[in-house]
Amino acid sequence: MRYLGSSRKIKAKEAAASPAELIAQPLSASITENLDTLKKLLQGCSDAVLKEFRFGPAPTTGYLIYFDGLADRKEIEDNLLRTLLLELNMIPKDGTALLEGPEMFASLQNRILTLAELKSLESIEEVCHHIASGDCVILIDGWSKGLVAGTRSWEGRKVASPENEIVIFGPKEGFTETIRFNTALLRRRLKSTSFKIESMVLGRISKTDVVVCYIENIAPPGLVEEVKKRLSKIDIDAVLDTGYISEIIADNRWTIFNQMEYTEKPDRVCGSLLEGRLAIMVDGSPMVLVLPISFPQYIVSPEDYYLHFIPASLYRLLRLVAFMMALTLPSLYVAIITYHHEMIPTPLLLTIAATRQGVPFPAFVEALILDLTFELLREAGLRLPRAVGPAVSIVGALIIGDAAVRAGLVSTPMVVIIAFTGIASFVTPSYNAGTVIRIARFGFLFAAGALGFLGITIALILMGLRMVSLTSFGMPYMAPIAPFNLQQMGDIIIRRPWFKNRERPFIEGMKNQVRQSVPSEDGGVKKQ
Amino acid sequence: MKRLAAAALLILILLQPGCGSIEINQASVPIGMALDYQAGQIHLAVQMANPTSPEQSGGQGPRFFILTSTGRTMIEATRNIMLSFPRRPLWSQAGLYIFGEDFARSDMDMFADGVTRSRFIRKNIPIVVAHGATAEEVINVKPLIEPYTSTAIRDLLQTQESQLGIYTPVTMIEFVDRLSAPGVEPVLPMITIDRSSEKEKLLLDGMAVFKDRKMIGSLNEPESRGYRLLSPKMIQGGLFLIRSPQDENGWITLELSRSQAKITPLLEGSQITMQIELKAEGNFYEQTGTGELFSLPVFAQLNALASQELEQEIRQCIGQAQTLNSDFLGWGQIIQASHPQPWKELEPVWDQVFPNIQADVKVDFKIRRSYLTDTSFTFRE
Repeated sequence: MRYLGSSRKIKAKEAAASPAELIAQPLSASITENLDTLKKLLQGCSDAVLKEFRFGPAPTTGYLIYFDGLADRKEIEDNLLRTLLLELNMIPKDGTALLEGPEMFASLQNRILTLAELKSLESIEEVCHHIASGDCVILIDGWSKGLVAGTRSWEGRKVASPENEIVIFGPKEGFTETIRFNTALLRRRLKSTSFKIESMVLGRISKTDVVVCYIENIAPPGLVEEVKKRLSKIDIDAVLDTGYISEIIADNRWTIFNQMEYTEKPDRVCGSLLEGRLAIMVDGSPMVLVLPISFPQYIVSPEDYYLHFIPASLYRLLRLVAFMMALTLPSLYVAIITYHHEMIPTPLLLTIAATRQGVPFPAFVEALILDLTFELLREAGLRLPRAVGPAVSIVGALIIGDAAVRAGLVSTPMVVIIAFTGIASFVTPSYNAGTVIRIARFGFLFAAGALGFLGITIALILMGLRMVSLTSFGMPYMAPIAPFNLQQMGDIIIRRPWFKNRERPFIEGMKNQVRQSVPSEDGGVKKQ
Repeated sequence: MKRLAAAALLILILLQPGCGSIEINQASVPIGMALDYQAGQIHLAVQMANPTSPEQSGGQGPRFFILTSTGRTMIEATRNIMLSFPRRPLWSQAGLYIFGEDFARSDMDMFADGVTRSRFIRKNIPIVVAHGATAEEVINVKPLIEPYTSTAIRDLLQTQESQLGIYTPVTMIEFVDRLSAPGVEPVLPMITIDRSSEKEKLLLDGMAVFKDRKMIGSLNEPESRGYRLLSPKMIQGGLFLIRSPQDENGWITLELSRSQAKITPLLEGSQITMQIELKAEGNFYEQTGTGELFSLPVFAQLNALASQELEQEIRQCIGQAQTLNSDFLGWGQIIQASHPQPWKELEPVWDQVFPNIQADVKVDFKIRRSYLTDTSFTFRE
């Protein structure tokens, strides 16, 4: 009851001036009034720093406001306090003269303070936004304006090679959690003004910076508009990762097929941008969304474009085979040994029959158990602390597998099949595609257990139908297989050599398709 | 609610194994089938594999066992196995059919319909006729090296064809086709048990000739060679001997590398002549006796002798076909293909026409290579 009472009291207090009303106020000329409002808003924010200081000939009161840990304290001390309190006084006449009269505020901003990023602001809301972003705000008595100094600096992860997208060839840098670093990584690769990074803020509480990257005369303008429109419609309290956005802005939401690709590699994003795609970055997440994407592109690894085209093409074919294997191998095996015995050569059948003697479960159940076990081990391996990880994989892979076979719970060929499937499922370079495989595999398994090859065929048809019915920002999900496009198939099944790769893959609305030999069309300058 | 019910139903359907599903550990693997016919009953002997895992392989225990049953029809006999055997056989794995000679000599209507109708019987497997023993006895013989009789006989037929070139393997589908197609009769390789040594072993021996749904006779070794040479298909591999032109006690071994027969019928009034042109190539493999054979005139001589030998085999085969009055050479079919109109008149009287057909055989054999040496072996004087 006491708590209820106290909460009522708080409510009563809030009724006087709710935070929403407080924050909407403009800055007043009186520093005490401004300070009052800010103190109310910052109540309970123990990391907020409000520092009073006096400067100038007839000492003027100023306040420095920032969040500790977000702002660079050394920079504040060196370039703000030191300038105002010490160095200004060393210039006997001019220095103090600058701080007199109606020009005082403009002088402060343009002539005195030695910071690269200085802006004036006029509302409490702006003050709050900037200090929360790590800037430092200076309020000066007698002025209904404040100065904001760009002092953002916090400890972040260094640029390192991404752990989830490992490549042998090519750049090894990966995105970090800080959006400015990330945009810089891109800008360093695309040193052109036609590479645009449009910014917006999403999230009522988180006020997360979200940027849309594209190359102006390559990305279809309609697509850029559509993405920005969909982003602006998002009204959510916080955006903590690109995953939030990708689910909300997808064309088809109720499906396991992800219509956007995540990546942590700047070179991969640049490659996509140059193909006319867009990238969405969110502050605080190293995962960058690339869109639109079609399913066949999931077998493409960024590395392909750095390798010689012949091995790269062969690797792609291998990945294609691995993809099909990861999807259907357990179901094919179950179908063959429960329905289509005539497909097995007799000696192999006898071997399988011998290993299955005394196994109590039907092949379908056996496959289901083992496949689930595999997923279990895989998930456990992801979550476990690094020190325990190897122990689990050893226990899982060797001991459980071997013991299960010895105990007669499962047969050896099934263990081989599931292990094979597991390895094949790691070949796909995209984690998204891997998820699809893992989920769909169980569907195929059920279909094979119920109807054999007929079931697998039905499941394949259903999956195909679902996939061709999807779009990613208007682009058909199975392009270029359906609708078929031979020119683009040359860069899906195999990797087209660079000297033949004259055109970009076509995205609806794209005007500029030529990537080689006609630089004027590319927005570049033709060399004389 | 409806959706939930539909989903539940779907899951129940999916969990229900469909018809036709057989778990392998509830099934057995038949390897070969032997069919005998005694006193109006079909005797079936099935060679069943003893599944052995690779870990426990070794010489221990027999790799197969024999199950027998009888029935009035073949399919009934196969089902009668179930009276004594608890596991369902996967008939599609049976890789060999052996007919007892008594079975082959009775009517093939016991066999042809059931075999073409059943989806469990493989059509690309060899069939042989047991000779001098019942089919059951043959299938009881433990083959050399190979664990199962079916693989043993299949490989036996294939390797002897490419290495020796005597008997032609016949598959189930060829046999059944020839039973139904007009103008051609089936032949099957024959197998017997060699009891000369203590350990019984399988031995290929002759070919069984069929006519009008039953076996009526057999071909011996040269006739079988002739049959193989008369095949319209290109044949590869084989070995044959001729007498040396320079040493009357010497033999020359020639290897047949390829041979192609071209058979064209010539219809002149009531006289039918089959023009047979055989183009063959071979390699000089060995000579016994003395004499330098490697000169152009001698080679021409050798070619002529070899052609003569091949022609002899072909003539023997044709002679046997006409004696038995069984058109297993498929001449009727050849005439039907090239002269469809006359064939319509010939077909009803083919039995009278066939033994009187003239054969005009031309063989052109050429020696191509002589392997590692290009002279005859010279002994120290």
